[in-house]
Amino acid sequence: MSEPLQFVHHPDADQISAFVEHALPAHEREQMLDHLAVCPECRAVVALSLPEVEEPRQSQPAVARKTWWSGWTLAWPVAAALTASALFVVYIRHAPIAPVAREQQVAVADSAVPPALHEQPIAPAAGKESPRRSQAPPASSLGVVAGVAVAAPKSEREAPLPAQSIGGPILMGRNAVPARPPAAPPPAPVARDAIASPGPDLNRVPAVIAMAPANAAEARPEPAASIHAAAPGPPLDGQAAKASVQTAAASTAVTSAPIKSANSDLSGIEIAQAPTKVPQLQRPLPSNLPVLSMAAQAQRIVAIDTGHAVFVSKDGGKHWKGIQAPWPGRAVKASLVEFPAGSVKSLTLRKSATAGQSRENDRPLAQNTSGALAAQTASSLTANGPRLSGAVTDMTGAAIPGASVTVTESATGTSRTVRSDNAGRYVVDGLAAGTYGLEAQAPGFQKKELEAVAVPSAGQGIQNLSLAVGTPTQTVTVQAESVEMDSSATANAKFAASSQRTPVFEIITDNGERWTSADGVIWKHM
Amino acid sequence: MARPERECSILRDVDTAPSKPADLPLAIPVGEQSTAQKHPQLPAQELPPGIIQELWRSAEAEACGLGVEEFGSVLAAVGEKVNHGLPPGNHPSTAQKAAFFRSLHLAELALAHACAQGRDAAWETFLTRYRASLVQTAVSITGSATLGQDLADSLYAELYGLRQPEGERRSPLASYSGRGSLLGWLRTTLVQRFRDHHRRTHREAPLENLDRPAPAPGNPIPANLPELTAAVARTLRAIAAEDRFLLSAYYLDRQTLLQIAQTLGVHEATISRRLRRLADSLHKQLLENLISAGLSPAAAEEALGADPRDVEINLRKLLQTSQTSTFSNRTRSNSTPGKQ
Repeated sequence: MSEPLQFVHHPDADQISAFVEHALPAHEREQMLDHLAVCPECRAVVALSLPEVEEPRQSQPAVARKTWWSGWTLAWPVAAALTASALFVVYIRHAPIAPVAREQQVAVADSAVPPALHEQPIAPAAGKESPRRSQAPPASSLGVVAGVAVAAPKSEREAPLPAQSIGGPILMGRNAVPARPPAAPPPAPVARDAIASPGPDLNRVPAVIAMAPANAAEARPEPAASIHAAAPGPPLDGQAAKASVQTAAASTAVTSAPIKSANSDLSGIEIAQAPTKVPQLQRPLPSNLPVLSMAAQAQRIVAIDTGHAVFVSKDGGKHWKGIQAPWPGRAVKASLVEFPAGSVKSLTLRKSATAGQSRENDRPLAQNTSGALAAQTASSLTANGPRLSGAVTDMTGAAIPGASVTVTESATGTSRTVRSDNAGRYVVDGLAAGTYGLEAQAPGFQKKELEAVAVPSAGQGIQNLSLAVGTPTQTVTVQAESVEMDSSATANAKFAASSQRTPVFEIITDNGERWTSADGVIWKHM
Repeated sequence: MARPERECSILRDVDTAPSKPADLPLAIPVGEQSTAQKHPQLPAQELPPGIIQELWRSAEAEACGLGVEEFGSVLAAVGEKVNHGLPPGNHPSTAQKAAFFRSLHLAELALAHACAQGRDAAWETFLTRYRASLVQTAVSITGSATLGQDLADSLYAELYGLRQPEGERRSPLASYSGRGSLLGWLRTTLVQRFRDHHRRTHREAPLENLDRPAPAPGNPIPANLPELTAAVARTLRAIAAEDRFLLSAYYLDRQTLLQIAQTLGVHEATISRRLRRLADSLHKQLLENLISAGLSPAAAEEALGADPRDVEINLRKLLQTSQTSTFSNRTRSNSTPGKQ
């Protein structure tokens, strides 16, 4: 800067105000700054001439840079994690609403059995129900019921014994305890019923039909064919299944197992895993929500959406009508059930002997009557020979997992020990026909021994064990004899004759109540 | 350029002979005055009459009672005063003059000069527009409603031209050039009058006793203080005027970043960064100057202190021209106790 431009006097108000308002030209501004640098008076005047400041801030020599983790750098991942957690929680909370999605249903079709026999359901879908409840026998069923359907959880599909049900040729105790009607599942679930052979000597059609109310149904030719082939007679399940297939009613899932000839043996039994797909409807529900559960009978369909609203259609899903829910709670499952026209007549059973606590022993057997176990046990008979199986329960019927079951052959004294699975079931296969001693023990329970349990040569011995609470040193010895099922055609005919039933819709609420309706509109509490 | 001596002389002039902007209505630098004397012809007269007419209309000078010729004379005086915004020695062209005049606050310029000439219409307009703002600004500056009102009334009387030092009515409004706003000019004038009032009512210590402050007992003077002082003087001379103003305003006057940013027209974050860079640069240059003066690096570091913050301390000691608090600080401490 040139020396003559230096201020001799202080800048006047005009220059200072112009400097404050940045209106000075560059050379005058330079002069002003040069003067202000050495003149505290003018700096003070300039500072006071500044416009009003809202909030004078504390002077800081330097502005600290923000760290890399400040700001929004991590906010988005955190927000995403929280959102994912929230969605996971919501999913977990809603997942149990459709427990039947994981159900699998096993059915064994026996072509030699009269068509009416195909429609004999016994065990309802297990799903979310408690084991005890699902093991409860059908109301007024005291004997062996042929043609059973099993609904087993997916996780238990590969268990040695099908979950919660034992079906097929089962000989029950003479004094088997009947099921408790309120807690017992309906005696005749229809849509997911399967057909099982009552005896190993009968030819079977190993077509497997699995119908899960909450599962998507892919209408395939095989299921329809198998359904019609298996159950042409009664309009009950045949029509229901047919309607389900025709309307793509989602509750029908059918394996692609080929239908074997009537002479095929039990090796063709398969277990179908119902696909967990959302049912497909011709038209969406009025609520535009996915279908949670659905049951169909002819053109009449009852569906529950994920909002637990119940809709009924009388024309195969073309038009829907909402139902005012008379039940407390939320409807979680819709299905078809049968009410027997009369009391269920048990098949002719041959029970050679029952002694001691055989009544208690037979109760779980009755509760566990199911087609899946029958299917598996029957299918494995030919492969592994005679076997002995059953369930280990406590006095209330609850399964005892991990119980040690020792089978001792009376003739040779050789013994084998197996342990019960999570459902309390045990299987000892590869046995020779004969008489065995059975011993079961579990921690916290009294040891129980059964003597002279007979294993038939061409069948399967089923012996359930009920342990009483006590110390392991206490032993209860029971003389019992295994039973052998009567698989004669006469028994099947008798059973078929007693199986004329009327299908009705059933809705299960989340608090366990069951409501039935013949038309899907008027509901009645069971 | 013997700036330190000039600084002392200027500051002594300030304290011993307070500036009187009223007496010096146009504080034109020496160079500009000489330039104006070399070109006595009014540049505005060279403007085409159409441009002057256009400027007169845009200034609405007629409403203030100013004619075209009077307004042209005002423009000519303003242009001559500041050389039409050009550095001294440059001869503005007609276009440059027109551009400069168009950049002015013409309406306020016409109002101020009409008031300076005692036009009643202009005063009515002035009172309507600026009376309340004048009082409010005075109260804001002084921090006291009474003092502010008195200061505003005093300035109003002065602006009206009641002072007649030489038998001639002169108003400070005549010094308004129109480069800034009239309200800003009024505010600055108020501050100057308040400063004069402060000087009249407060006793200040003479600078001679404060030029060389006694060292603090806990802070011994470095042995090589002369070298350090010379190095600081050389370093400060080497930096730009804006940087020196920055150092003075921040370290000496303790102005806030926002105040400095408003003064310089930049963001306060920019001021912060510049201060940091400036401190680092000063530290390096001081070391270099000390080493070039014959000190070893260790001695140079010792002279400055190992902590770079000692540069600030040294600057304060060496640049502080007065140990008393500055005018602004004292004013604020008086007006708003507890803030400082």
